[in-house]
Amino acid sequence: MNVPLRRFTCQVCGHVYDEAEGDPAAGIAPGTRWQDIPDGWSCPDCGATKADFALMAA
Amino acid sequence: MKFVIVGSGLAGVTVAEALAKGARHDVVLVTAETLGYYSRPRLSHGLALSDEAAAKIVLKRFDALPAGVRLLAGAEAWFIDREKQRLALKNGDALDYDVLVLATGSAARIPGGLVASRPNFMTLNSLDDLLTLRRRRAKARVRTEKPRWAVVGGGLIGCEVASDLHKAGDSVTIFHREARLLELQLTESQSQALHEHFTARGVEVRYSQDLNELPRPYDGVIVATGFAPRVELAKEAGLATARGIVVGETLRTADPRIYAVGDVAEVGARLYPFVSPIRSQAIWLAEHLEGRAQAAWAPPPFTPVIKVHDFKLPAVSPVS
Repeated sequence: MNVPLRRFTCQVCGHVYDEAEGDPAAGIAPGTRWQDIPDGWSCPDCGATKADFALMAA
Repeated sequence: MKFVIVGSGLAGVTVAEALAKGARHDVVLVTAETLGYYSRPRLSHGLALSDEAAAKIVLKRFDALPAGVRLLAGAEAWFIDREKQRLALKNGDALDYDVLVLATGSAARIPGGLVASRPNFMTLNSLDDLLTLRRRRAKARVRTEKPRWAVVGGGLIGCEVASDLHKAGDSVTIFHREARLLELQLTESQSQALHEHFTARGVEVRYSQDLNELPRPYDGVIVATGFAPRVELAKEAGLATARGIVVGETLRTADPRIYAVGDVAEVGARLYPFVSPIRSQAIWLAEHLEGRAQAAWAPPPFTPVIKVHDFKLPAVSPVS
């Protein structure tokens, strides 16, 4: 089953992590699922932690 | 319990929202701001944005705060009467508190040599500052296709705003007091990489510039030479201050009813002016005030983010 790609938003600064785009600047390839991002990853805009992101409604 | 929180940045808003959950407390948030809660880390990249995108820097209008938070916007705290446990406001009102949380953040620090030039340069410390800068830039673009900016300061904000103005299509010169960029955050080789990144794109960087007057001629001068925690309220109330308000590992001052959190809190002789530790402090403090946090606050591991467009920090561990 293909789970649709999701988007997560940083609750601190509003930055959006899109699974389709990944975060190539931090070595996170496009298509990387949220749960596969290492816990040490932080918001590329403000440095908030992974735990500070929330799932966006589709 | 009646909590009065001063300041509506990341620290103040996070504490207020957490305490308002469950509606067991009276939570009052006092702020000089009027528009809403906004992301300060985003301000330095707020120049190249469209008007529509810039409006989104306000993440939460004040009327969108939880119902349990009573908000006094556009209100400035004036002094603390510790004996009466009362915070006086400049508009003449006063608020009684059981616990007072100072989350007053920081102002732009201006070098002594430039204080007298104050009306002739801009800073980038608040949303108001950003809006002023954007208006100023729009005005400059009426006269010239490519406005010329001097950015005084080669630290985090200086480098970020220089990068953003360049992205917006403007001409930028950075005047830095030290011999290399971001000398507090980067290794020498990383500073060199950043220097090369800028110069390859036509952003000029001048070093060892300890200015006593504003550089000229430019369409605008932005001074980004660090920050100064707003300690005045605490200081005038007789509480210990150094660079920030001195607190222990429970973020409490010497007065058992007064706490400090965020940019303004100096914990163990250190300031933590970054998103991750501030959010961690605020969440921890709300739990502590509700009697749920046992151990002391400990800073989480964090890496300051350097937001220079298209620049990736070479993989050397930053100096701590």
